[in-house]
Parts: sequence; C-alpha cells; structure tokens
Amino acid sequence: MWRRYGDAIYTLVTFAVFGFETLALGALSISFLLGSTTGIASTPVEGVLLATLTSTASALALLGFFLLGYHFTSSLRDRWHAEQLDVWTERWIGLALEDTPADEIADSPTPRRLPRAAVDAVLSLLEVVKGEEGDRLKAVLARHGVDRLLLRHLRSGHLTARLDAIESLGKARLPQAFDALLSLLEHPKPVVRRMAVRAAAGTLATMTPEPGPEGPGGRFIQALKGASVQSGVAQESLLLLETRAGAVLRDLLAEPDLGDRLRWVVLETIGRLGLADMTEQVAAFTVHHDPELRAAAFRALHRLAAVPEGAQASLLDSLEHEVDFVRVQASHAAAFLPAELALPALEPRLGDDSWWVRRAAAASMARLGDDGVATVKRAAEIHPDQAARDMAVQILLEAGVLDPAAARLVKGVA
Amino acid sequence: MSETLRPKDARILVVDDERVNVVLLERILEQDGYTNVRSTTNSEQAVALYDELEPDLILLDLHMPGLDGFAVMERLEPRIATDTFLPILILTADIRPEVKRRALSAGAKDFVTKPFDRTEVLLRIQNLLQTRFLHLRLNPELATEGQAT
Amino acid sequence: MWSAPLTIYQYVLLVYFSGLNLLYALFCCVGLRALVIVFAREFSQGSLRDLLERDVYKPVSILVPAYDEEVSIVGSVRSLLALQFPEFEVIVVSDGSTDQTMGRLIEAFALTEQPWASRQDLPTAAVRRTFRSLTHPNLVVVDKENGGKADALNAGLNLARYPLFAAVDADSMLDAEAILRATRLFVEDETLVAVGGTIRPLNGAVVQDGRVTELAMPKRWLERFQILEYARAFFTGRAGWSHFKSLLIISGAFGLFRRTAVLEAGGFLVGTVSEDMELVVRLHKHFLRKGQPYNIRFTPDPICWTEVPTDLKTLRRQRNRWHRGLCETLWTHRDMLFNPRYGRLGMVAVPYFWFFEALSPLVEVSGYVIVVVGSLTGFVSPRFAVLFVLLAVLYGMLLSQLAAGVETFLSTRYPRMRDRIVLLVAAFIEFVGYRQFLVFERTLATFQVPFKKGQWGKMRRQGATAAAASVDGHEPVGDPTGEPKTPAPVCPGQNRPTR
Repeated sequence: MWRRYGDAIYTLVTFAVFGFETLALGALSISFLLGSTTGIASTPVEGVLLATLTSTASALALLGFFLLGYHFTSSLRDRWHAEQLDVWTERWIGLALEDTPADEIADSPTPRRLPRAAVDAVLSLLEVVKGEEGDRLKAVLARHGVDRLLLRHLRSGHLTARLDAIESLGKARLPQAFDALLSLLEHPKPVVRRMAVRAAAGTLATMTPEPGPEGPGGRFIQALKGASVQSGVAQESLLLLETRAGAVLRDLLAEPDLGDRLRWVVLETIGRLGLADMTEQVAAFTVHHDPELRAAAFRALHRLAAVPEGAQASLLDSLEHEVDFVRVQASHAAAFLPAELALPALEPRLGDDSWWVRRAAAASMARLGDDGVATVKRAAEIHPDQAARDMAVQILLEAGVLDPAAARLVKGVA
Repeated sequence: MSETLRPKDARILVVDDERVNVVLLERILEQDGYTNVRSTTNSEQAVALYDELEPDLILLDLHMPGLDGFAVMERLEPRIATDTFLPILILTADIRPEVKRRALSAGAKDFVTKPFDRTEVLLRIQNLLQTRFLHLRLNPELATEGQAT
Repeated sequence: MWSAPLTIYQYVLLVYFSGLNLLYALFCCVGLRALVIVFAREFSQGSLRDLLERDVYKPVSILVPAYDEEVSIVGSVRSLLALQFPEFEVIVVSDGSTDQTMGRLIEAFALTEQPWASRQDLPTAAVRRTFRSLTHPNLVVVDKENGGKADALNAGLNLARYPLFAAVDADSMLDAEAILRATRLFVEDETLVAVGGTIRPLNGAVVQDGRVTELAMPKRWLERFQILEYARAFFTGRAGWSHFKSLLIISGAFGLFRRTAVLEAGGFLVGTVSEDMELVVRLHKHFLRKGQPYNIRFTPDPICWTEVPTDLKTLRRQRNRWHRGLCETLWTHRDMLFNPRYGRLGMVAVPYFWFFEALSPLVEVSGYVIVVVGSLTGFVSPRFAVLFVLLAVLYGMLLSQLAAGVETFLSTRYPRMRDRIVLLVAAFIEFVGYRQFLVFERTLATFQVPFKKGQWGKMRRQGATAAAASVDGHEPVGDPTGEPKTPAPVCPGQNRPTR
C-alpha cells in the first residue's frame, strides 16, 4: 500500500527545503519592506529577489532529483525484495519440513544477521504453519537473534520501528514477547496500544495454557482491564484468540470488577464466536440494570440461537422495556422462544413507536413456524395501526411468503 | 483398472492467493509422496485448471481477492457430476461457525484452519482421498479417463 | 499618490502567498508522517485479512443519487454490486429522472416494485416507487420526485439499514479493500463520525474487473494537470487538516459516514450546490455545540477512482460549481468565522478557507493585474515584475513536486520512470496557462454565487458505455489509440462531468 522506507529522508529533505525557503522569503519580505521606503524598484530588493529565485530553483531541482532517484531505487529495491523473498521462502520451507528438532536449530553455532527479506519470509510462513514446523521456524528466529532484535525495537523511542516490531511479533507469535507486548497496553499513543493488544492476543492463542491469574491468560485479562482501548479494538483482540477465546471469555466474565464496557465486549464476542456452552452466563445479563448490557445479552442469545428457560421471563419483560434498543434486541431473541410464549408477547410490538422494534418483532414472528406466519398475515390485514400493517407486509415479502403482486393487493395499492 | 488407483497418484489442485501458502503446500505434499500436484494463486484460473486436471482433491482458500472460495465452489458445482465425491478441503483462518456452515453447504467436505499443522493436514488429505478412491472403486463408471493406469 | 497603497498591497500579496505555501508545506510533512507512515503499518495487508476473517468490519449502505444517467447507470451499479465487500447494500435514488434511467435499471437488474415500509427520518420530496432486485438482493432502487442531490441522498438515508453509509457519485469506481480499511476506522474509534478518502483520477488507468491494475499517464496535458491537483489536494491539504482535527471537506465522490450521526445533524441540506462540504461543516458545528467528543478524519488510502474532465468546457463547469459550493457553504456558516466557540475550526480552518480558498482567486487575479499594470505604467520595473511572477511560479511548482513525491510512496503509483518525469514537467507547465485559466474561472464563480444557487441535475452524459467497459475490463473506449489485444488503458472520459 505505502512504502515503508525513505519516508524519513523525504521528510528531512522537505523540512530542509522549506526551512530554507522560509528564510529566503522572510529576507525578501523584510528587504521589500525596507526597500519600499526608498522606492519599489530599488536594486537591493531585486538582488534579494534574485537570490530567493535562485534558491527556490535549486530547491526545486534538488527535490526533483530526489524524487526521480527515489522512484528509480524503490522500483529496483521492490523487485529485489520480491526475488529474495521467494528464495528465502524456499529455503525456510526446506528447513521447516526436514526432521531436525527445533532446539538443535536454535542451538547451532554462528548465527548471523538475517536480511529483511529472510525475516519477512519466516514471518509469513509462521502465519501459515504451526506445530513442529512452526517451532522450527521460531527456532530460526531465535538462532539469528531476530527475537531479541524485535524486543529491542519494541522498547525503542522511534514510533515506526516500534510499530514494525509489534507487527512482526504479531505474526511470529513468540511467547517470550508476550509480556513486553502487554506492557505496551499502557503506552500513551493509541495506535501503539491498538497494535499491541492485537499482537498480544495472537501470541496468547499459541501459548500453552496455564490456569490462574499468573498464567498468560490471566495476565492478558489484567492488562486488558487496565488498558484504555476502544471497545471495537478489545473485541477484535478477543476474536484473535482463536481456540483460547472460550477460556479467556469465561475468565473475563467471572472477573469481579471488569467494568461494564468490557463486559459488553465479552457478550458481543461470545455471540460472534457462537460459544453455545456459555448461554447460561450470557442469560444472567438479561436482568442487568444497564440497558446496553441487557441488549448485548439478548443480541448474543440471538446469535447463539437459544434462550434458556431461566431467561424467558426477563425476555418477555424486556419486550416492554423503556429503552428502544433493548426492545429491539429482545424482539430478535424472541424468535427462539417457544411459539406459544412468544407470539402473544410479540404481537403488541408490531404497533411499537420504533420502526426497528416493529421490524424485529415482525421478523421474529415470521420465524416462529406456521403459527407465526399466520399471525403476521392476520396483522397485515387487520391490525389497526397502518405502520404495523406495512411492516407485516414487508416482512412477509422478505420471507418469500408473499410475492410482490400479492403484497400490493394486501396493501390495497395498484 | 480401479484396483491400481493409489492415493499417492491422486491429482491435487491447490488454490490460494498467497504464494507462500501455495509453495508450502506443494512442498508438503511432495515430501509426502504426492506427485501430481498443480496449483495457482489466481482464483480466476481455478475453474480452467479444474477442467484441465480433473483433480481428485481441491485445497481451497476462502478469502481471496477477485473470486473468493465461495465463488469458486459455486462455479465448480455444475461441473461436478452428481454422486461424485469430489472432496474440497478448505484452508482458512476464519473460525466463525456460520462461515463453516456456509462452506459446508457450498460443497466443502472438510476444514483446516490456518495456521495449520502439517501432520493434521496430511492426515485429512489422506482420509479424503481414501474416501474418494473407495467411492470410485464402488462406482467405476464415475472414474474419469486419466485415472486408469 | 498610488505608491503607498500599492506598495502595501504588494507586500500583502507577498506575505499572502508565502503564508499559503508554507502552510501547505507544513501539511505535506505532517500528512506524510502522521497519516501515511502509521497507516501503512497498522492497516497492512496481513492484519486486514486477519480481521476480515473475523468479521471485524461494519456493513455499509452505498447511496447513489442519479439524475438522467441512462448512459452509464447500469454499468456503474453493476460495478458497485461487484464490490468484494462482505456485507453492503446499494441504494440507487433516481431523482425524478426524465430519461430512461429507471427503465434501464428495471431491465438490467430484474427490478420488481415493492411497497415499502420505510422510516421517515428525514423529510424529502415524494417517493413514487420503490424497487427491489430479484437478481441482486442487496440492491434497492428508488424513483422519486425531483428534489436535488441532497434530497435524493436523504431519501436514500431513509431506507438505509446499516450503521454506516457512503455517499458516492454514480461514476465513482470504488476500491473494496480501501472501504474495508475505512470501516475499520469506525470500529476502532467510536467517536468517529465521518471519513473522507483519497480520490484519484482514473484517466489512463488500466481497469480489470472493476479494479485498477496499472496506472499510466493519460495523453492529454489537461488530465495530467488534474492528476497533480488531486495529489496536492489530498496528500497535502486534507491529510494536514485531518491531522489537526479540522477537516472541512469530504469529497462528494466518496464519503463514509455514520448514519446515526448524520441523522442527528439533520441529514443533507437541500438546495445547496456542495451538500457534502455543507454536511461536514454542519457535523462539526453540531457536535461542537453539543460538546460531545467526535472525530472527522481523512484516510490517505485511495478509496475512489473517478474520471476527470478531459475538455475545457466540462472542467470549467466543474470548477465553477466547486467554487460556488465552497462560497455558499462558507457563507451559510459564516457565524463560525473567528468564533472561538468552534475552537480550532472557527479560528484557523474556517478563516483559512475564507481567505486562502474562497478569496484566493480574487487575490491572485489582482496580483496579476497589478504586476501587468504596474510594469506597463513604469511603476514597477518590468524586470522586477517578471522575477516576481517567476518566483510565484517556482514556489507553486515546489508544492506540486512535494505532492507528486508523496504519491511516489504508494504501491499503486505511476510505475514508469517516463511518467514520473512527465509529472514533474507537468508541475512546470501547469503554471503557464492552466492555473491562470482556472483562477479566472473561479473568480467568475465567486461573483456568480448569489445568482446561481444550488444547481444540480442537468448534466449531460455524452460518450459511450464507458462504465460498462470498465466492468468488462478489456475494451478500449474513447481513446482510439488503445491496443485491443492487451488490457487497454481505459480513457472513457468523454465530456463526463464528475464531482
């Protein structure tokens, strides 16, 4: 997308050019001001003008040559890098697939610094393969001191070096970098925190689980609690946990002082990952006083396609909650209640004030079997509220129960 | 004729947009004894390659630019005769349940999540090919030309 | 008698242009480092793929207002529907088209009329009919009474069901991955309200299956100048403003907004020429007044490709319209000028746009006039005048070079060395005629503001099925020198005004 090299020099050149130009223009303005007291066409001003002109022209030439030079060298460099990447990929694949045990590779003598393309090749391979082969590749990184280098860059002051290191560690998923990444969750710059939490989550996914607050999962949870990352970012990172997600989410929900925002994130993630074995824990939030959490719980239940018996009462209750988005999510989740319970509760929602509630209610009713469809049809014809009738027709259209011509008939339009 | 079908002779097609993945899979298969492996990083060519190769197994990535895995499966569907067991093994990092469901209903037979484990991948491939050849043995009329030695 | 005021005025001119150019230079550096460098690392290919596979994106409703677009609408909609975006809908709003726009759409997409239960979040001109497509379930087409582009967008908003929406021009060609990255910005920042992306000229590019595969310099100098202009505007101007949280312009060709925020602010304003800029200014005002934390950003990602005008007449009309829109919006929100209540916006950004954008053509023209008159009357020595003008020209070229330089950092850049040199040369030639031509047009526009209020609608689309060709990929259209055997550069810009 954007090349990652040469930007420092370019900025330097730009600063130099414009710094110089500022001085030149400043000189010109001052001499102009002074010269104006004696007449505009005075020679000193022209002299300064000529000097400014010359400097600008040279700056132009400098910049022009720099650009052409950069263009030329960058195309060469890109090509070279691509070629080298192929070469090293082949080499590393060969190493990964042979039978040398990982620790032998790590301990073998004379490590030398790997070129950029070689490291990139290992990292992209690590994104694809795990197990023994992955361990061999990680041993390669250890042998050539890449992991130590990355850890050093992680602590460096340079933003770009740090970000590059975080990105590489996110791909490499080296357990030894885990704690360093977690410590970056308190960095003042948001972009560092964001990238660090994602990389840490990816690393955690491959680490051997150890229970308790001192294990990696526990440390991750503590760091997440203290980190100020946006909900979306926290959610992304939880999704990156892959097979560890279930355990971490369970522990998160059990944390006493987690904070509502993170709880919301956990509920959302449970829903997205389809962790059906956590339905009961999710259902516990359907009676929460915070409407956001309540709605999130219903949304998760909807995604999990199940409403446990214990939550039925609170769902029916929430269908009349004062906050509209709670009603919306409860209406969606009601599709998974037994029909005889759900239909009488959903029908009044067809006449709700909020368009979104009406839509959710009608959609859920249509999913509740033949009885549900029949109820919606009846509503389309005889419901006193015009908006309710329209919504019922709309839902029937979308469900394929009515075709457009029939729908128009029902609505009474030509 | 059908008795001489060996799983290692199987024709395998690998479709993944990342060159690294393709090369890796080719080497893994090669090392394990499979001699008839073709691959492409261009999903557009997948169908053409299918027609040319008539593979016994397809290793398919889901998320590719241009034609994604689902689109490829969609295009292959009319070409696969009914009752043919053509295993499609999906390689993806996507673990979402609905994606799995969608892929399975689109014609995939099995999943391997990335990053994958070599042993696991080879085992799954072996199982799928054994099933395929068993199927062919039971229905010799479905064996295509190139499969008789 | 004239000497003192003229001197002062010349001094003012000098300071004016120096200040302007220095500001741009600052923006250039800032833009490059703050946006590009960080952006490249955070949104790299790998990370994007990871997160896409985990459903971390937000679905988008794409609103396409259309008026009398029968020639190109089918192709445009087709290329939009082909976007490789996981979840989105396309809402085409025909704003009382008098030609065959609706007819062609109905035929091409198997549209079937459906009575629609819609929200009326925003008042609009009456909606006549609503259609759904049998072949593309995520396509909705609305036929409504004429009300203007803003009205059409509002009608689309009433139907949109996703949390984000994109307002696009019918002939915008979008990059799905870039949109994905842009929606990620909304996921990461809950206070984000709007995102503007980089628009790049499509002229000369090779398009395959709705994606730009290779860039090449177009043949006409007019198009080349515009490539530079867009680079300057986006890579230096907007990048800089966005960094200082004072972005006032999001291009109408592509803008990504959070639906609830726009509804809160009242939707698009009907009757204005540039409803996109007006909306952004109003969003700023609304949230500043409310005291709620919010963010409006620019992403340096090339999101949208658009064909730029290839002839003078269309170009003139386009720039006239843009300038009028700018002046109108600034005037509508003149209460923000130097108003500390609006923070950085009121004290820096809005004044900048007043004095350095809206009034700059006048200032520049006056500069030319003074120089010419002055040297003719012997008031200013001709040598001085020439040198002065030359300095201004060189300075402007420096800026263009910087912008062209930022473009060199992109992966999709003009790959040929020859093209790079052409761009640098264009930076020279631009100042000998092209720029002056546009300055005069914009001066004219400034005076036309009170008279030509909010005109949109009667844009004639000449030229062949250009957009359809870009979808099929390999047909050279318009430019007769394209080679038919290989994917030819698509130069479909036949008098098609864009915005």
